Amino acid sequence: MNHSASIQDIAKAVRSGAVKSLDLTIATLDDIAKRNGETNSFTRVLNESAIASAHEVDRKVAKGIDPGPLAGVPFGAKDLYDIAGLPTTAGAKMRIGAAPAERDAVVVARLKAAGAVLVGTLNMDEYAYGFATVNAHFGTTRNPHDLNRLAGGSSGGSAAAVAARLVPLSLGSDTNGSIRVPAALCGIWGIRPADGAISVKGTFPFVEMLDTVGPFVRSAAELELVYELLSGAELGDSKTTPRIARLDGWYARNGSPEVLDALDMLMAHLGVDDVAEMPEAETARSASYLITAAQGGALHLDTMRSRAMEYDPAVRDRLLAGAMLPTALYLRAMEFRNFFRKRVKLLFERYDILIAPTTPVVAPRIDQATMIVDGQPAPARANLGLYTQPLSLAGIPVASAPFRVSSGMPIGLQFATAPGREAMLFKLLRELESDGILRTTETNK
Amino acid sequence: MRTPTPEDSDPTPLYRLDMSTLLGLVVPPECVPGIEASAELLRRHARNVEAYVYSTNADEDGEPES
Repeated sequence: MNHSASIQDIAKAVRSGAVKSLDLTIATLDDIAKRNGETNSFTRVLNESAIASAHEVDRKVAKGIDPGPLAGVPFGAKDLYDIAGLPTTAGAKMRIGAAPAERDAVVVARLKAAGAVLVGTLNMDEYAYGFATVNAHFGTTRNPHDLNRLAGGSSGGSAAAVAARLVPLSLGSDTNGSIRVPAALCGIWGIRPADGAISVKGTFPFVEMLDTVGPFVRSAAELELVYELLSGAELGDSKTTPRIARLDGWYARNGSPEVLDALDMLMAHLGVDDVAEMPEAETARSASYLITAAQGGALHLDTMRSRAMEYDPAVRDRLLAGAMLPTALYLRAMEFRNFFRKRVKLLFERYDILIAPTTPVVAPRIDQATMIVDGQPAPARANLGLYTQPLSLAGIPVASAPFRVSSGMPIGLQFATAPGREAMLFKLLRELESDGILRTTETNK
Repeated sequence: MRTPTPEDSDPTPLYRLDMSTLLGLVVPPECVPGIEASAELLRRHARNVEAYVYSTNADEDGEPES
């Protein structure tokens, strides 16, 4: 069993007894020890508990008890998930000494109950406030496709670990794009679920109104399997032919030629020329930005009164500015949010799946300060969420899938649907992967 | 009316209501430029939201909720 195996193949081999979970776990831990330094994906490696979990899986197999559909599958969790016995750092140095969590976060517990083996925690932007995974305390996570480039964030460690084949599965969180952006920049698959579809219980909050959690994997079938396990939904096979359109306007502005070409090729492959307008997208992004700053600032207000200088400076500045945002502006953004969600609902009366780029550009270099937005230089890291933030405000399920790339850096595309139509979404992703138009971007190693 | 500044010898009541003071937030002066830069981004997004004109004929729910 090597690191190329799918989640399904790993579980099948472990369930049948052909492969020992312990052997697989030890090999994974050894590999992380050897290669994690390249990307700085893992912040803590849980050798002892991982080996204990692997023993338990093997014990069940030996006794004829099914360990579950993820038997022996090694996985990592972003540093904001509660793990019993460990402090939940949320990427913050000031939380290294926090009281240990009493129990696992709900989704960590669900993966363990399905037989998966937790091997470590993964790097992130401090308190999930960023699109870069440039962390003043825990370091920068590097993109496995080019170590001089960003992995994206805030779940950058989760994405880089899967893209680098350190683990086949990881957990991240997505408030404004923190699963979709790193999935796109690292050439793998991730999904932001609909609001409330997957429990966030036991995760460190950022913006409770927008926070979601979800997985990173290397194929469409794996994404569907893990989504079903995390959400508890039984999706079945959709019999409906989806009505598909490409998002235009805001989603055609500021995209680099290579990203827009990829979308053109995908739409040509689908034989779809429908274009859906979302004229409110730019305002939706702004509303999301304001709500994030205000709620994030309010959440951290008490801590910032006494420990402001212990924050990552970039995060501190955003949180302080957010804490001082006038209430009238916050309420105006909230008012727009209600309006926007109704407008998006109307859009899904005409269409089932809307497609757009995930990021306007491929992964920027780590030292790249700016990118061009509407003809002007603008901060590169903040604008990686240009296309993900409006869809976060809508509260709908959105997957980021890798477009086939034969050379160069990965390109991700967003596939958005209405809550309740996830089966249709996963079926389309599986078909496009089978056609070869969507495909995990392989690293050169 | 010009905006009062901390250098004013007779601060107006508006200046006394400075939000950072009200919230009990104190940071060294060297942090101010970074906070100002973040605040400027917030101002730009606030202008976008403030400027949005809600459609009244797109659908029966075209008005924002109260």
